Amino acid sequence: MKGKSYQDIEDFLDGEKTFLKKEEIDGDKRFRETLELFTMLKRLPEVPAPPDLEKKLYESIGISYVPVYRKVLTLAGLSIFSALVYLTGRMSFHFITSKITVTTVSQFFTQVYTKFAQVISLIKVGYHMKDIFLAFTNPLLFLALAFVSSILMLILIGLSREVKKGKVILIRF
Amino acid sequence: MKEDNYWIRRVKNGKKNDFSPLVKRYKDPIYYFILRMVQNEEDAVDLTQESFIKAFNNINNFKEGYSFKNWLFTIASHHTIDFLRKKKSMRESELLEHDIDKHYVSHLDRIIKDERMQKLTEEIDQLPNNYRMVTLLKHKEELKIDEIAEIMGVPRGTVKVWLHRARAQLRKRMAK
Repeated sequence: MKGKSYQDIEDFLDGEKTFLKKEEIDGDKRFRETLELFTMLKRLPEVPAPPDLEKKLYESIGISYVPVYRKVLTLAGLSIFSALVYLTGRMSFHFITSKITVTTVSQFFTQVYTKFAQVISLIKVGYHMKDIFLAFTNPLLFLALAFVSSILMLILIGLSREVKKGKVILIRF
Repeated sequence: MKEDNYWIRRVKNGKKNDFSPLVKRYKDPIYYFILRMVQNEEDAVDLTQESFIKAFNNINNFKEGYSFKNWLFTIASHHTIDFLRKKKSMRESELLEHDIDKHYVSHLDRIIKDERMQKLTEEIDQLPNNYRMVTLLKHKEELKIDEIAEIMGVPRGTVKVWLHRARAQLRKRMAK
């Protein structure tokens, strides 16, 4: 250990470049004790900050503070809720699937198709009604209809008169 | 450090609540450091709070790429030094030594069972303020000499001298 001084151990502790080797430290009682002393300093137990420090600090800064117990409670509540949702869903699924057979499914689809067809028919009827209504609201078409129907009426009246006189004989085909 | 920078960026963008992960991470080392320096729990709590508030208010001045821990320790050490100076002048003028000392009942004294560790703690507390600060930053926080010099705002050589003297004193006292 000749030639080695405290400066070497100082450099070693400072993290500076040193020619001191680990074996040399272990071999020298003074060096070993010094190193142990400062290793012990590193290992001194840290004192935790008081629990209300965080709360007071957040209040001073103006940021929201959620205590740990409230976080735990929220997490537990959410876990219970999600578990309930999952179990209810699972039970409902099992209940529904147990009720379904091939016949009930086909019956259901037939019913749906019938209802659908009824709705389509109603829409079609409505569409035709609209056409008829428009035909009557159009004056030209209305006049044409009235003209044709009055001529037909005249023909019918004339025919009935001729039938009564016996000049025309109606033959049933 | 990357994680710290992530939270800092968010705080800078106006998400104030994201300062809490940084508080959670550094409140204990900062509190411990200040407690060892001021040796009074109430003062340590106040100074820790003030250091964090100062850091929060000046977060926009924090340069990315720099260590947030070192920046926080810089704020805390400057704040502590100011406090100790004021306290010293108050002690001198009002002779309140007995009044100040009676408040110091550290958690650490209750936690430490090991006699040698207890003695070491006491000896650290006996060191002058600047020696105590460099010793804690070097051996407790494991900072480099250059980082300590930057934090304390003194030349590198001064830190080395203070460290050397602090170690010599500790070695001598612990050997008794």
